[in-house]
Amino acid sequence: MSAARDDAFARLDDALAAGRAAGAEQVEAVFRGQDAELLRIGDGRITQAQRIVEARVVVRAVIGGAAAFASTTDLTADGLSACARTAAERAALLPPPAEPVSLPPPAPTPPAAVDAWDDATAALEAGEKADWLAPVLAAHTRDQLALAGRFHTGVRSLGVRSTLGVSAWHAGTFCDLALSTLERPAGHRASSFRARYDRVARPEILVGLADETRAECHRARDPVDVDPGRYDVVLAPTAVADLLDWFGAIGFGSEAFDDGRSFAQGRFGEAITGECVTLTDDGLMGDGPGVPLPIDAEGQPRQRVTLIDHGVARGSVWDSSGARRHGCAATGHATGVDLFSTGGASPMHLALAAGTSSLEALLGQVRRGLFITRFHYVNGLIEPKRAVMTGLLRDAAFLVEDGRIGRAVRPIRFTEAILEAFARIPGPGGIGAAQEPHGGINAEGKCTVCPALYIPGFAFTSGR
Amino acid sequence: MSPEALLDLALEATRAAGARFAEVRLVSRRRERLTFRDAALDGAVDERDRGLGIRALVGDGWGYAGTHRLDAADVRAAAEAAVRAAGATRSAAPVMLPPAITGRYATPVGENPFAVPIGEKLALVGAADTAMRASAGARRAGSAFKGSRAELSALRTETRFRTSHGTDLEQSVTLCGAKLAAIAASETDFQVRSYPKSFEGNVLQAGFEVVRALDLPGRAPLLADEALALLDAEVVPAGRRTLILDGSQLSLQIHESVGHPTELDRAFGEEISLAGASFLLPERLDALRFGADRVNLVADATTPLGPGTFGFDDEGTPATSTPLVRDGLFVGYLSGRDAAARLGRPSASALRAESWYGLPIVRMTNVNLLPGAGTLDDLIGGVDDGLLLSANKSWSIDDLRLNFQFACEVAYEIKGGRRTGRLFKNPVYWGRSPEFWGNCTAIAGPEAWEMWGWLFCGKGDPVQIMHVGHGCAPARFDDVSFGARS
Repeated sequence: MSAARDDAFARLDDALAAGRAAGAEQVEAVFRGQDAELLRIGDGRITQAQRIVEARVVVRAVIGGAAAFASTTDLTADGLSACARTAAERAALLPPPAEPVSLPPPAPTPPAAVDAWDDATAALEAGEKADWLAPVLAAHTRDQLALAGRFHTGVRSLGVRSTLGVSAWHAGTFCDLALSTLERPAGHRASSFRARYDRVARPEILVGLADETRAECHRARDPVDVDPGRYDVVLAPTAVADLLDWFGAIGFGSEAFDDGRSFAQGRFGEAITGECVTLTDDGLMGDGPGVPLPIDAEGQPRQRVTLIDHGVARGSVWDSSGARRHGCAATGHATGVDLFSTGGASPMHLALAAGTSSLEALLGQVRRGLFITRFHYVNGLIEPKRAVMTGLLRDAAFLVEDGRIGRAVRPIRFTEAILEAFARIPGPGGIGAAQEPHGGINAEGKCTVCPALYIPGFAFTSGR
Repeated sequence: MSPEALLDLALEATRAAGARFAEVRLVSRRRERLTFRDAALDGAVDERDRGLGIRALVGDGWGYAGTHRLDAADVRAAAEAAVRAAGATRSAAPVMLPPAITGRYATPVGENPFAVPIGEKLALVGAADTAMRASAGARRAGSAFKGSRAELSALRTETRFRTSHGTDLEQSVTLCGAKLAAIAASETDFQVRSYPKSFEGNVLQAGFEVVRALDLPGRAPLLADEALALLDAEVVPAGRRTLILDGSQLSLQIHESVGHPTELDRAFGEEISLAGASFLLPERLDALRFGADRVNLVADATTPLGPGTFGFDDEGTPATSTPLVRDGLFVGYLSGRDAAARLGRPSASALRAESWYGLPIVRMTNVNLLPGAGTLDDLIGGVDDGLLLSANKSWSIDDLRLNFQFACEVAYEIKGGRRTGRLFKNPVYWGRSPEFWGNCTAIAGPEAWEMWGWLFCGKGDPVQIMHVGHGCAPARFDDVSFGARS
């Protein structure tokens, strides 16, 4: 691992030197690398297998307080030099901004060490993964069910050097596992889903999730229609993670504060949701499951930030520029630039504090309602100031009557103000004690840890 | 190493590792994204990448490897990885190999967007911001007007593609476009009005001439006035009314309720775990009534300005136009060679990859709604009580692409065949795809037909982002459900 770091740092230093030579007053170079084995399953067979080796360097050059980014996958000396020159030439052409940019200096204390590496996971190849899947696929075939999903593993690395002396490196393994079990034709009959995003891959984890989906798919047969309306619901952690993904983006991303659309804006110190809700962002991920990332795209240590403390809005996440603009302290949450983002800060490791209840205890509070294992296509842009979101049930969802799981139900759509919904959680007993780690779509490295929730009166607004 | 030598080496190494057929793609991309906040440049990104993708066929299993490392040893390692990966997969049917072809394609570009000086781009956005601040609404509003946001995008993808059977293709695709938006916010509300379309704006396959044609300064004052007016506007009352969609929203309606469900891999259940499946099962082909008789939809990879236009898809199939819905009947799918062969049909030339690091999968090209007759005013003239909606704000649709719910930035009230001038905020409408398209009572004509580009269609796992197009004219739908507040 140190050889990879040394090689990356040598390339980053080439980029810094080229940027300085091109006239930049400050230069930052970021290395993002991935060596991944990606496997997809569909209709009971492995449909796609690919190996991706990718590395990219992003250079930020600052001249007269104006900053410009350039990036390249050509990590030869010539390629890096051209990239740094592009960034510097761009920065030189920009007018002096009203809010001058200055790169952050090294943090006073280095990021904490985290356990993020697993040799066996790093070494997994397509053939071995296919061997792990073979008995799972056979079991599904025996049950006349189709298996689908993803089994992605590999190594991701992030390194940052700057002319101000920042020097940070992190490399870690990941296993992004998602399995669906389906009656055919897929999507039209019973199905179930489990997912886990963690730093280690083990056959027993794969088999355990597959056994759960197979058993649940059998229970989900012959679903019935339910009418739209308000239902008491128990949301499995996968469904909670779907909501939190949007909740973090619309409430605690720096762009939401820049535009004035965050539901937390101007409300720090004020109760914005239920008293049992405590939400943090913690890139170190404690000692629990998940995929930690201890540094951000500016090479700063990710700080543990309390966003909501017992229902009270407490803080948000910031990179160096956003913090300066909003008069806050940076928290080490720079996202860096990519296809979707031109920078800024965003929560990447949300953790919803656990409560006290087992899943059975959560279900036991429901007289008549729904147990929901997964949502589909959640969108949180309808009314961000109220955190109004919409989405649908997906895969196994069940009626719950007098605390017991009953018949499966067909998908219906919810439209709900999530701050208000979370305010209806009846204390720590409405929150599960067990937490699960889940990855995020469209955000590499995002990892949300959350328990199951009991929410009375969740609003469902239309049927399929 | 020259591109030709690199491609030859990759083909030779893949065959030597045990593939019976191989495709190699050498892809270079350049992407410029400039974002502006109140006319100040807020983000300036110039991304370039270059890499090699290798698709290897072993038996009837495909494997893929992508690498940014382009020296000989790394290319051979990628070839071996692709062949190893192929050993883990199995196709649903025997793989048929294509005949060898050669060809070239390049976007007709009037003005190279990468050559336009940044000062000129700043001046264009600055003029729009000044015009916005001079609007009557912005001058009156004080702190509720939160300023302008703008974005300019340019993307160029250059691809060399060769196969072990002798196909040799070269193409260069250039996209360019822009967005301008006005932001208004109060303590309890946030409203935005965008032009010509929300999110990335309208990004088309052309040069910078499409940005100049937008006339951002000319459209800026109305955006500010409407964003501010929406803060005080009422929400659309729940109920069923006639709906007219302009192209900025209709293009997304087409995307979600026509484009995705006509992807054949979804219909076969091969995208089920992440994206979902489709209500358009293969046994419903040529049998299911998708919409009204006037509804005709095609997947056309040859439409001028379309972001989904190309010479060849990413398995080397020449661009085609494939009917999806003819006279309201579901008649076709988006497909690549293997999937189409399972139905005994030719490929719809729709196997596309985001770049070298993604294996090609079934994607939209330009899924277009063919024009009807008349103008937008003609459509409005036929409405006694309805709403005209513009610019998407929120989108969601179920895993079979049946139940959808969209929110837009603004709804314009229509009474007695005329726009009343009243606006509603946060308009939400919802429905089921076949019933919605079945209630299409009018489509405006060719003079109102425009191409709308969407840059960020996500599909695959890991997600690949694809630029696609939807040509359409405004259309009218009866008996649509509005309002879905919790």
